[in-house]
Amino acid sequence: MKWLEKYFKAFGLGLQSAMEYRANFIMSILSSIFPMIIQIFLWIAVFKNSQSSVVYGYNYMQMLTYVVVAGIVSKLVATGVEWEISSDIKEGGLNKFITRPISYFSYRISCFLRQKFLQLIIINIILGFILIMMNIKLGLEIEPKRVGIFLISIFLALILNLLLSLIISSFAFWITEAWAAFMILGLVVNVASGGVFPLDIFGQQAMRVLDLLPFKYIIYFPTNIINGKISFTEVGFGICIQCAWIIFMFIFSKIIWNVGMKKYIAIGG
Amino acid sequence: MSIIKVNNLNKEFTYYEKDAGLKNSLKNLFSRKELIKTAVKDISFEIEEGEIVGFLGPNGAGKTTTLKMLSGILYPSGGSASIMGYTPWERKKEFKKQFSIVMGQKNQLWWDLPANESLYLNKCIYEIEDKEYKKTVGELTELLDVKDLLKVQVRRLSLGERMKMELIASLLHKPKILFLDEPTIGLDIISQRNIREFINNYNKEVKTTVILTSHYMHDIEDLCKRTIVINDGKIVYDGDLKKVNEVFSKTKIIKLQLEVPVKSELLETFGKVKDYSGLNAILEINKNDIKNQSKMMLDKLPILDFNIEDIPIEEGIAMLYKKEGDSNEVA
Repeated sequence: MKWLEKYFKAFGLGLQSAMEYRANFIMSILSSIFPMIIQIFLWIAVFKNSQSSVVYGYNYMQMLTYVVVAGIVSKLVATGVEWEISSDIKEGGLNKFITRPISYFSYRISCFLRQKFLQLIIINIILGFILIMMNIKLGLEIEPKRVGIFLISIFLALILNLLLSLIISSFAFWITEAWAAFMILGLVVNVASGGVFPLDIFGQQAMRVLDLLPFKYIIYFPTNIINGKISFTEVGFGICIQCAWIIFMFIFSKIIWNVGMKKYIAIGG
Repeated sequence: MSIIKVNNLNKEFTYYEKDAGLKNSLKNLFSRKELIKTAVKDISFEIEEGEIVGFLGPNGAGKTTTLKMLSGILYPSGGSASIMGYTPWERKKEFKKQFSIVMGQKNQLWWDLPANESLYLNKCIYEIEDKEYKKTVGELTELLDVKDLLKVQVRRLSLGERMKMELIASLLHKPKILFLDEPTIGLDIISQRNIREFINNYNKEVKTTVILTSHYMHDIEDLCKRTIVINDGKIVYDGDLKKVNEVFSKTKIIKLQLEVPVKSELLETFGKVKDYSGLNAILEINKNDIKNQSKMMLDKLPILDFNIEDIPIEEGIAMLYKKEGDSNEVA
């Protein structure tokens, strides 16, 4: 077990390090509320001016829940590891991992999990609070079973998004100034995952393409579990696909990292 | 038996020219101008266990690159190296557990946390036993006089204190080889001296092989019996730094103090006058002539004090740097 201890320690240290910047953390949560409010007003306006009570296959309540939950889930699964990793690559921070008996890949994952560990608790409390408020004020109803499955699927979404981020971060091995690429990819991934709008908006054709990609399992899928849009059979099927993507992405990210590392070592930090 | 053997080590870098700006970053995705620079050219040397060896050279000479190859960070373009029987760039776990590298300009400590947390992380990384760990930390903090600072956030420590913590972190697992890249960079004279003394004592007691790079002459002069001078990627000198002038310079310095002023033309008949002000003069004289010229000077000049000295090591080194490509087949 000794070899695992180092990663646990990294996990703990990261937690402490994260708590050193409490204010920053609280601000980052607050910052996600504003776009959410804008969206809520947008959809309220859309539904008021629409003849039908269903827009893009969502009723009023499902849409509101979607916007709120998707906003929070996208905050939750957001990793930000690209920036840390690319600066490690660019500024030679990788060197201290190359020269010490510790794996950078595993180290990053344990650091990420600790970071999320705190957020997971706090964000879920906030989310629970909002949903209860919506239940009281707007009469939103959620089956308790869905809450449990939702929690499982956001955990899977978190892992999936981390692996995706690791793959995107490896760009930094090939491009020194990778931040432009990160910005673009970050936006594309967020939109393609359903973080901004429900994916149904893009139409049948786009959905067929998105079905083949991993993105929708990051935000769209877990969010639609909780707002009751998809049936339980679809949920079970979706979770299996989430797992399949995780396995595939894990292998892929490992491979791309090994290639990147070889290049890094040849060129130098 | 040599603990480090290096044979014809070579390192070429390809690098790219990039104009400033985001647009050009994207442009670089598709096409780049490629340039090649040879940072290290056919370096060979051997180092015995327990030696302290200094790498001296100007900026960009290839010191750090060599060190990076020896610690497995870089893959060489050619040549071979064997350290304790391992090839560094294979990066075996057993190898990593037996050496340490400290870079003066990079830190391995967690910036936002007290040093003892980072030390503990290293304990976990190197899988050190609790008892052993406590003993080592106790000893090292005592030696470096930083016991009270263990609980202070690293970013609140001074540069010198941080360097001491870095050293402690790198010595926890009792490495057989310690690579130090510019360990005293940016430190004041007293901190520099402290670090030097510590390295020296540690080497004597534990017999750790130490290889350090520096462009501070004094680091190397004080610590290292043996110095490898690198310039432009090549070894231009390998040996005792104090003897560098015996090998390279053909002149000596004579310092004179006169009773009464004499004409500088008169002084010039003995050798090259480097400085003459008031009653003091400094002359540079060819080694072979030194005996004759001294005799003549003592006869002809109103001399109060007379000293023959070697050219300062700094100047000898500067000469080495300047020589670059020509006639440096020593070592």
